[in-house]
Amino acid sequence: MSQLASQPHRLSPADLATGEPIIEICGLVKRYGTFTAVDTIDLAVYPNEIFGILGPNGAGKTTTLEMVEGLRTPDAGEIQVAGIDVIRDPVAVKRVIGVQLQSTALFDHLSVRELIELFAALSGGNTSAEWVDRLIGLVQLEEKAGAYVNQLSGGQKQRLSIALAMVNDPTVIFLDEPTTGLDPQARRNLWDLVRQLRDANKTVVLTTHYMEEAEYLCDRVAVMDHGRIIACDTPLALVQSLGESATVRARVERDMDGALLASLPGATGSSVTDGQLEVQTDDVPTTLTALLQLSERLGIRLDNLSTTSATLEDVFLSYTGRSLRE
Amino acid sequence: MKALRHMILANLKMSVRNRTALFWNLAFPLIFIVLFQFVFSGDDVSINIGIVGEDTSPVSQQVASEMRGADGFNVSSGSRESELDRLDNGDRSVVVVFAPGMSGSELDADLYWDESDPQLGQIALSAVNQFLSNANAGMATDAPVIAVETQAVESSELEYMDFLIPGILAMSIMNSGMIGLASAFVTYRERGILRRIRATPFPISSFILARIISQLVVSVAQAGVLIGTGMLIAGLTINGNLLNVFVMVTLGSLAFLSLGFVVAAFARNQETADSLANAFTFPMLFLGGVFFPVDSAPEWLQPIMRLIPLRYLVDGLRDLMVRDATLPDEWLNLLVMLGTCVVGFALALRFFRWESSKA
Repeated sequence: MSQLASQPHRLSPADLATGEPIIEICGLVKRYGTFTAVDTIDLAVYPNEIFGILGPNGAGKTTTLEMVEGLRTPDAGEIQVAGIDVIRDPVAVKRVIGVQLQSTALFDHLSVRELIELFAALSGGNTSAEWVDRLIGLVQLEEKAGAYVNQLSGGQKQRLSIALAMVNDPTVIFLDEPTTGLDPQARRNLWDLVRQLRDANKTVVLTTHYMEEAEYLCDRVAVMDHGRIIACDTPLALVQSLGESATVRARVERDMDGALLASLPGATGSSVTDGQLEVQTDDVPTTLTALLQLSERLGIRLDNLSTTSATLEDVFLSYTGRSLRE
Repeated sequence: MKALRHMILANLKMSVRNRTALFWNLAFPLIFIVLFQFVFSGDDVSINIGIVGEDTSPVSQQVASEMRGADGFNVSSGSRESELDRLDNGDRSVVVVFAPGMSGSELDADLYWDESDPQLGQIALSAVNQFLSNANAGMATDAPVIAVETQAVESSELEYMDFLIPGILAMSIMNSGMIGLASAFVTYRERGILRRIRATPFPISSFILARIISQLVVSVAQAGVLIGTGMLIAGLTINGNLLNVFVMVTLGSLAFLSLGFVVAAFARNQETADSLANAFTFPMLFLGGVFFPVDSAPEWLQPIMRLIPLRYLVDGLRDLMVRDATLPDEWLNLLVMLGTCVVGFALALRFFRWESSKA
């Protein structure tokens, strides 16, 4: 456990192979008429990880989640959550999971405290004042405990719905696009909260179409497109699988010899167009040092020097030929 | 059970805190009562009645003399021609014509009323109607005619408020049941609240049950406030048993809740739900005899009005509150409410959708 707690928190594939999965999905299919929303996917989620499903809108993320939550019946496939066959016993699974739906509106005219207490009762959980207080504290809504939902900000609403997902002290928590529509500050707060859930020994499954979120927050990521899982690994492994790990960019006053750039140690490709220099490399420090020496030797000034690591965005691009943001 | 209790309490809290709903459920009907009270106070309406053929039978004589003794009735007697003339001139609100040659056990009366003054005419008509129907009810039994009639006369001091308030009560039961429920459920569906409930182990059937129970509590409270206010400011006299009234309120409330579920089943969004519910409730308000007696409507409209569920709730409440009727007397009205429930819930079960169509 000690290496799990270290920063940054990343599970290595070796860690994962040792545990039994808490969620197992096999050959899952969901069709709407002739449209196949989820196309034969297999997934395994391990205890105490933050598992992300990353993909553009309409990729089938929410449909997948809702089948695992027992809210939709699949057309084919099997789902096991914490040893429960979800398709055969969708009610039993609802007792051990916590669910945050995509943009759930809640009852007007009930306060934060009353909503938490109500959902605790509906989930068959503990409704004591101490437990409700703990949940309010967990999501830092102490000051808003008496406020109605319409008096909460977007981030506060999302935190409330995470508290509601926690009312039955679940084993697995599902968050459907928890940060969509939030400002950067609120998004960071929510990320901290999700990490806290993992630290409280929960397994978190979330969907997102923000690659930064998947990269920063998730231990493992399944990349989904057109109802299929096109890749699934730790964010680091996914990025490394691309080979080129970074691009060095700079503005130059006059053109440099392309052959010289390509021969820099570690460089895998290069170009200079309209004074914009780009060198792809799989060894940033070596290439960068050599580039600086080269520019000094040639007396060429490098402006706006930057390096950009490959991201999950590039992973998505390389698998689908499209950008995630489209 | 614990979950159900929490859900019911939450519903009740929301009903009390929702000011819009509170307005329609309580303030709106109360405003009606106060407004009508204001309009009708001051001129203690005295109804001019002409009686024709008073002498044709002992029963008609009896009825005429009871009418003379009743408050608010100003009774004169004359020939058919002269009385109908006076009705034309506005000197009479209602003319009662007893058919000649009636035996003592049967009473056949034609009522004429002044259409040019519909308000007074209808009130008068309803008053006389009620008077006669009470008298008739008395004569249907084998008990001595006079004894039963005396009783009837006591309960027939009909003020318009006594007539109106049961109607207003029925109206508010219909509105909160049908418009309130349909609009709430469609909103729940539209905003994903129903789906959020489905994500808990709480059965959706219990969610509906909780809503029905809390709505019944609201309806009974509504009835209490309306009747209480009616008695305090509008001189409402309850001749019947309040417990029976509440039985009718409960059954009527269930009936209109079931219709609310039907509307919620077919409406896609809240705007549609509101206009659909209003499209049903608004005509019912006028065809159901809330403000004016159903009998006074034109002949051709009568068959249509017989199809209006609200009419049976209005009739039932009016009989139970004002006319000292008992539940067995109200079997038809109770049956229609029960039938509406069954049909409504069956339709709702068949057509209700948990998810909004944009999946």
